[in-house]
Amino acid sequence: MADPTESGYLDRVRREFTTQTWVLIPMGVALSVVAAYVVNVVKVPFLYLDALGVVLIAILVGPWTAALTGVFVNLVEGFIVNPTFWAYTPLQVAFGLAAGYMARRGWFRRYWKVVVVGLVLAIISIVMGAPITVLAFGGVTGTGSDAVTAFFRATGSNIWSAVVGQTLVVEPIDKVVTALLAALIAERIPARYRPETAAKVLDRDR
Amino acid sequence: MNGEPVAYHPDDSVVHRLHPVTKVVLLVCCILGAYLAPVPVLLALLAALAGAASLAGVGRAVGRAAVPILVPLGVGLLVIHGLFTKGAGVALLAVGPVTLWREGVLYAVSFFGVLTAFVLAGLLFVTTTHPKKLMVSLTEKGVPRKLGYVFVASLQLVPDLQRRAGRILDAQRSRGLDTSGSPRNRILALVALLTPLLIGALISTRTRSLALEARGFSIEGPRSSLYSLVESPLDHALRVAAVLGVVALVAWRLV
Repeated sequence: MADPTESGYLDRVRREFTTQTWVLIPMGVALSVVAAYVVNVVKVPFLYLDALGVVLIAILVGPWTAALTGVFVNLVEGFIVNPTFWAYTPLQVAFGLAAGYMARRGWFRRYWKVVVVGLVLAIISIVMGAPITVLAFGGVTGTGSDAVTAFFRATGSNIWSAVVGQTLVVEPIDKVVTALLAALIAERIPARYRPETAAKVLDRDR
Repeated sequence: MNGEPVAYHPDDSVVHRLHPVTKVVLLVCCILGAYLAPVPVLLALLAALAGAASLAGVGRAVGRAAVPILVPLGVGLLVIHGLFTKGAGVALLAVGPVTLWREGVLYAVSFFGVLTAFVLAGLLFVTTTHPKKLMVSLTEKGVPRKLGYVFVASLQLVPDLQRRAGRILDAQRSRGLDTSGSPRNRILALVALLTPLLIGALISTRTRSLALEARGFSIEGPRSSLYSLVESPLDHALRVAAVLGVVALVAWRLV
């Protein structure tokens, strides 16, 4: 387990960042962006998968690398897709930290545990994402989820409960599928291509 | 990802020649200012952004990228606020059971103005700032070089990985992969598409990290750059003006 002193902890964080780590981060970023494109082709409703690269890096390297990947996912999406992504950067950082620490503690070893990880990510997304959507964007996201918000508004909810209601419907689906996909994909990586830092996933190396 | 990706438009206008750090300062100040400003100032800001875009010769590119982003946001705002924010209860338009409330529409329109400023400022920044020059300028200001590498490498990897994803999609479909049908099938199809994508990317990271190491990636010490970036008096003036503008708006809000 971790060295209780602060320098030991910082050392652990620093040890995460080898040259291979610095190369894996852009890959995680690009994978997150491209996963959104693949979902668009395969067309699964209520799925965005823009946290997939972050969760994969969390499994393959560790929490701090995943947090940094999260920063760059939204920075890069803001650059090439839509500047409004910049506002949601804190979410991706939190996803990376949460998934990374849970991966190290073996939360990706059983299917039900992976579902729990997905639900934790969904809670983070609701708690942090809803205020950003309401305060910075007046409650809209510019995606199909707005129809769900409009539905809740039509039932008489105020803007806060409507947006929270919308995220309660959409986020658990997206985040649980993201966590399961990340685990299934990480499990299928042949041993010789797995980074040495990778956490144990599903039934591998039991 | 609908439509064409937003990208840098090479040119040599006044806006392009601004120091990248100036543009970062202006971008942050524009976005903060848009949220703080009263309506007349917001309109002036929008006019300034549109003027800067046409001055830089990226007016059409920014417009084409902004429309698909802003239309869904605008429609969403109009529906979520215009139809359901009753306010004082003054109706603008009533068609059957659907009523458009005056207060909600006003709120939606003013908020749409803020979001338009946000998106225009972002797109103007992206279309006039060369990513590598941005990286070099931020490194000069003390941002770790490795972060700059991550940023530029990510931007370059996206189209590369996207091409690869397209090829994998074709290859798996030719082997009978079903990308339609039930949600369960589609999610399993995603595993079949994303696994080779990740493994391919992991293999290439090995080569990439060896290549970077061979070029002294982890050596400390000063580096020289291909780009020489100058800070003109205009840069300093704009930075000071932007920061003062935001400070003035904050003061106005607080008073």
